[in-house]
Amino acid sequence: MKNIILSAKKLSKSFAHNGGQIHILSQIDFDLYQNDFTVIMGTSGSGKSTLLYALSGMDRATAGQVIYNDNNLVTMNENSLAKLRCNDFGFVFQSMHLISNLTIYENIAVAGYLNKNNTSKSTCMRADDLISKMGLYSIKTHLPSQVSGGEQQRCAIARAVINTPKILFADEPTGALNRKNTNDVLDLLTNLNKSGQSILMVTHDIRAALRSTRLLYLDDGKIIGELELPEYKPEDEKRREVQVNAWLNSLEW
Amino acid sequence: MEILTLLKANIHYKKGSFRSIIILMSIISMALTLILSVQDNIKESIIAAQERVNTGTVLCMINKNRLSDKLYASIKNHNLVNSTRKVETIVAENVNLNGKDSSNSVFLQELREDYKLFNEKGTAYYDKVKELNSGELYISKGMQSNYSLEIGNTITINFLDQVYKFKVSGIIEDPELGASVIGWKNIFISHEDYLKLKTQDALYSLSKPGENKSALVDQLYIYKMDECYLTDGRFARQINLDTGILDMCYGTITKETLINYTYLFPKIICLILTVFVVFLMIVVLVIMCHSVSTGIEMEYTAIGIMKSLGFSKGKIRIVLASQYVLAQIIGAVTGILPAIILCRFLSQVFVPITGIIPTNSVAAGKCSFFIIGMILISVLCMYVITGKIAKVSPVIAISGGNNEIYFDSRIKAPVSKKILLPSLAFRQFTSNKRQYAGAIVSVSILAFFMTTMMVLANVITATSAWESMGVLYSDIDCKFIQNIDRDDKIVEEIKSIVEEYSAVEDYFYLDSHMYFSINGEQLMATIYGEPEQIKALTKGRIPIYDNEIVITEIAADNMGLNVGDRVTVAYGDKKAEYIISGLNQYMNDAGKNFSISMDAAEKIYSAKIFWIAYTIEDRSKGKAIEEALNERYGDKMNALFTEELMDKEYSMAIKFMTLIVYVFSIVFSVVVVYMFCCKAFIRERRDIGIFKALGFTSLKLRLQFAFRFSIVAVIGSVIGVALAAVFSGKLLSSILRLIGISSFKVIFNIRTFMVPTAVICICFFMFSLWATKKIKKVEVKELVVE
Repeated sequence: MKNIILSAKKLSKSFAHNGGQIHILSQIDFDLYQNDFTVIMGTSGSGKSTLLYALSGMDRATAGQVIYNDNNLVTMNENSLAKLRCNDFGFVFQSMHLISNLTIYENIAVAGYLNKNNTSKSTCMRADDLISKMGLYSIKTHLPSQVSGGEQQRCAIARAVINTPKILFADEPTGALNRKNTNDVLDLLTNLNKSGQSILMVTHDIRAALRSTRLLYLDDGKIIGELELPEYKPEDEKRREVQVNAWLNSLEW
Repeated sequence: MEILTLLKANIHYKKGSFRSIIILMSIISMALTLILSVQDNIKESIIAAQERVNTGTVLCMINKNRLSDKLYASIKNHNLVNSTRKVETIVAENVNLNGKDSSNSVFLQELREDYKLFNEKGTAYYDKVKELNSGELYISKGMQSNYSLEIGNTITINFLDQVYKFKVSGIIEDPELGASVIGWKNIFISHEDYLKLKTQDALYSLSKPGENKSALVDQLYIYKMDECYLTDGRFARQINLDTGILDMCYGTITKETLINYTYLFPKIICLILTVFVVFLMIVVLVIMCHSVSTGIEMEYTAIGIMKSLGFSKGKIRIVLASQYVLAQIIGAVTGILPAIILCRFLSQVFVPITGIIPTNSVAAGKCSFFIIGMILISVLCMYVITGKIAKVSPVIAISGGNNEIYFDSRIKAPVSKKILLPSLAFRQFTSNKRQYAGAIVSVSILAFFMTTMMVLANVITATSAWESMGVLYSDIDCKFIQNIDRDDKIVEEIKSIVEEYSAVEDYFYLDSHMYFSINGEQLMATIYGEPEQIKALTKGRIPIYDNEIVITEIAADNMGLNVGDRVTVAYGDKKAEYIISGLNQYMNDAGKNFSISMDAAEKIYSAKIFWIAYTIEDRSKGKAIEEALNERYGDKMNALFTEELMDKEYSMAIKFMTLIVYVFSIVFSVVVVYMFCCKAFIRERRDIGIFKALGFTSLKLRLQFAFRFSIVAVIGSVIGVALAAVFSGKLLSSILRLIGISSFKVIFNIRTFMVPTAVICICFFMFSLWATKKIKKVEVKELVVE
């Protein structure tokens, strides 16, 4: 039996446009399970990123609830949401979004410093550990503009997990990367998941989707398909690819 | 049309900069219009009033019995003299004004034609001057200010052993001696009273025929020929060399000097404020140029796109510059409008000092000249700065190849958990130093001026500074009704009484201030009891021998004299040669005077003691000493304890000016912070989103901004204060030279530099916290790439 870590109930998001309403998300019910590597797929404009941001509290839904630890994120105030982002959630963006004037090391450490539960020493130790694990040691004093896109994204992941978040949200983390860097980043995420990290990722890259343990398909603001997968193993990749492709084809991907 | 479209878009995008330049420019234009208008109005009103009352080129105060017919004829017939005019007056030395003794001679006379009477509020003149009744008198505005007199107060005149009491029944505009900075004062009495005093003078003279002590003094006006191109001072010197009239006078003053003295204080205030406004103009130029420069870097991509669309370098330059020029023009116009209204009120501020109500016109021509000049300079600066647009490559710009130019930090201060926000703020600052250069320069200029004003304000209460700048400071002043001999035993008796209450730190004694001529030019002489009492020497030494004098730097400069020069000093029909042993500072007569010891003066003048002054150790005993001395010697002298070092009007004016500088600096700080915050906000919107995504609250991010601007404020203040430490003395000396201070004594204490630094830092911290409230509106979803 899986533990629900976060759940959405009747979640809707719409925008006013030219006097009318555009519905991006319509009455979505969704549970996120602990230790799962959940991937949301969908066509462009299907509302994947909007759903991710609504679930992570980065954006407010128009209606419905997002329940985390018995709290509704939709009605939480800004300060409580900031605390949640600092302590419980980690976020990886498609465009990395590193602070340009902080070094790679500082970009990772700064999120740790912000967390009141960490001491300066523990943050430094954790940052050093992550730097080593992510293979960033040789560039740790470099500025983001001085390193490659893959290195930047690995740094962004390290930053997102420095506070050992309950959930790691990732928005197209490989969208701006080449094949080699994409594989590196996906390996990192897979390893994190294997070590117990719950991940919710949005992507339209099938290679990224193959790493998941649960696949959801979003179309026109609604979840229209779900596929459970076993834990990722490199040797099973071909078989998983066939299975996922078949599933996607059935959904007219 | 395309330029207009881009201009509109630019203004909309950079509302913060646009608004800021409008506000700054409107402050400058308002201040400049006010200062120039008030300055012109006061000067023109003084000249017009003097023309109306027909002031002569030279005004000589000469005892009636010293102006012989032969001397008068020689003046009238002089080839440079157009005409002469005499006004008979009675000089009174012992006048008590509402409990305070007059420190200078008072000339009693009948009411003159063309003089105007102030209304009760002092805001305008009556159409007609009311005739005076016996026992009534009119005083000038300056006298009212100097002695805090009101209508209805009593003035007691001790004249030739008789006491006369008068009631102040009005305040008159005296364009000649009516300013508060001029010591001599005219008092206007009724015809009946004048005749009474004149008769008293005649009777006294008859009763003591040998003493020759008539108080009748002619105010002799000498008018130069229209075709005489000598300055008034040179004209007076020439007349004196040819006739000896000035040497015979009680004192003389030229029309130019009268105008200068009357206009002196407003001129200094306006000059200091003009310098301040010019510095503010530089601040605006720096901010604008910096804004354009950083704007080009921030809009590198947009400029690249514009270039790729076919916009020429010239057109892009016009788009960037026209936004700022338009803001300047709007600001200049909006600033002039309130200045027209405020001008009426500000002109009134100087009435107690000048004694003349100025007109309310606006110096439109001068203001337009300065403002157009400033706009042209800014256009020129922007033309130079926008030259780098030529280097923008559309290909590199569109591919975002200029990103790394923002972050060029070589100062690697670590980001620390303990001081996370300040350390992040410091990193933001060091990695983007160039962006804050304009703000630092602006803060430095503001801090420089605020510190300079503190230095000036410090002098209000610093006796040591006054002394070193040539002001005769003392705690207890004893001024004799009749000058006493140098060996009079009363001198020792007074000292004993003073010492009963407090130890004496220092003392000096002087004769009355006299006018002697040096090489034919009249200068006020301060005759010291002992040469060691001559202070504030800036060059040479005090006179050791009885053929030596000390002259002020300003007088020496005017007359082309220096230490070691030989000069002829004359008084009446006596003259002697002296050597200048040193140069000093002494503020009387706007710094144009000389000092001589009584021994040295004996060659041409019989020196006596008029004034004995003591500096005491325990000032709390001052009032008691004053009372004891007046009780014991009240019939021979007036003792006065100096309660305030500086006249209330002047210290108020300096405080008011300091307040203006502080208020303007604070307003400028708000606008500078707002403008830079707006720019930083646009530039760092993405970073703000990232920090929010990491869990930073809006307040923490705003505090980070506030810390960053505090760093700017601290650096700018330190530079400004350091510059003030080096240059404020020189700046104030050059301005205050007008009142006789050629070497301003700068007093620096902790308050001097802490107050401006604290004010600027607190303002920057608070205003940046306020200006960044928009951070609340930045949402993390802005980081999403859809």
